[in-house]
Amino acid sequence: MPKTINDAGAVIRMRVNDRDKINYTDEEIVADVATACRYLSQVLIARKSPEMIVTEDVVDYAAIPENFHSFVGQWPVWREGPVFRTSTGANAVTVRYWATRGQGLSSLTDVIPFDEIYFDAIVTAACMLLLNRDEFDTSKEQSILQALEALMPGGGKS
Amino acid sequence: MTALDICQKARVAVGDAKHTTYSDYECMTALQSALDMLVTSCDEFFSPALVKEAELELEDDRAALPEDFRSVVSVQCYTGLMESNYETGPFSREYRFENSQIVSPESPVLLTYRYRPERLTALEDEIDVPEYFELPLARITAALLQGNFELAQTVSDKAAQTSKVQRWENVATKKLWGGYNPNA
Repeated sequence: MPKTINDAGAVIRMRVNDRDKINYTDEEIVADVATACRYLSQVLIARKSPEMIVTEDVVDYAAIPENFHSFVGQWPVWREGPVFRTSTGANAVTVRYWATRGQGLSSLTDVIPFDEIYFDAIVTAACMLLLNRDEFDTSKEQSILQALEALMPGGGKS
Repeated sequence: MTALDICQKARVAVGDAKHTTYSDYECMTALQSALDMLVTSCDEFFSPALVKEAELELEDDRAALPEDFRSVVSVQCYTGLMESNYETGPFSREYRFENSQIVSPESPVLLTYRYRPERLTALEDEIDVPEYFELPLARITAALLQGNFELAQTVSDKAAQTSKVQRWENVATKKLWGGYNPNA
C-alpha cells in the first residue's frame, strides 16, 4: 500500500509534538514533505541509485521533461536550453536519464513517489524543516537523517 | 558471441554491471573501436585469424570482391597458386585488383583473404570473430570506456600475437623439452 503525505503528516505531527494541529498547518507539512522528496531525489541521483533512471525516446528539439536531471552516460543526444538536440533528426533515440521526483505534490492525499524504505528519511527531513522554522535545535534530526542515508541502498559500499 | 555479451563483460570489468555510469551507445562505440583496433593488430602481427575463402566466378575477366574484403592472402585457380601482375597483365594464372574488383583471365578463382567483421549496429548483432577473441575484446572495450588507450593497444597487440601461437600449436607437435617441432 503506497504511503500518502497524510500518512507522513501523522508521523511528523507526533515527532514535532503537534498532534492537535496548533503549530503547523497541513499546507506547511505538504510543502516540507515535497521538499524532502526533492532532496531525497538529489541524494539518490548523486549516489547513482538505479531506481532514479527513466528511459525515453527523444527526437530533435523535443522538450526537456520537467524531471530531467542529467543523462546516464553519453548519447548521440545533448541538451540545449529547454530542448533535446540529436544528430539523428526525426529518428527517435532511446536515452536513459536521471529524473528527480516530488514535483507537483500539493495535497495530503498525494502519494509519496518513493518506496517505503525511504519513508523515515522523508519524515525526518520534513521534521527538520518544520522545527527549523521555529528555530529549534535540529542537530539530533540531522544525525538521524545522516544515519538513515548511510543505511539506504548505495549508501555504504554495497 | 553477440555485442551484448562483450558489452556486459566490459561493464563488469569497469564496475558498471548496474548500467548507471556508461550508456549502451558508449559501450557500442567503444566495442566498435576495440574491434577495429584488433583487426589492425592482427594485420600488424600477420595473425592467421580473421581469414576467409571465397570462390569467385569471373565474367568478362572481372568479379566483384566480397563486401568484407580487407587484404589478400592468396589467389588460386584450378592449376595452382596465381601471381599478381600490375604492369603488363594479367595473363594466364595472373590477377590484379582494380578498386573493388578482381581482374584475371582465369575463372573460377579461389580467393583467400583477410576480412573485416561487419560494423555493429545493435546489441544483438553477432560478432564474426573466433571465440578466443571474446575476452580480449571485452578487456579492450573496458579500457577504452575508461579512456586508457595505452592498455587497449597492449591488450589488442597481445591478443593478435596469441592468436598466432594458437594456430601454430594446432599444426605442430610439442617437443619433449619444450617448443614445437615444425617438421612433424
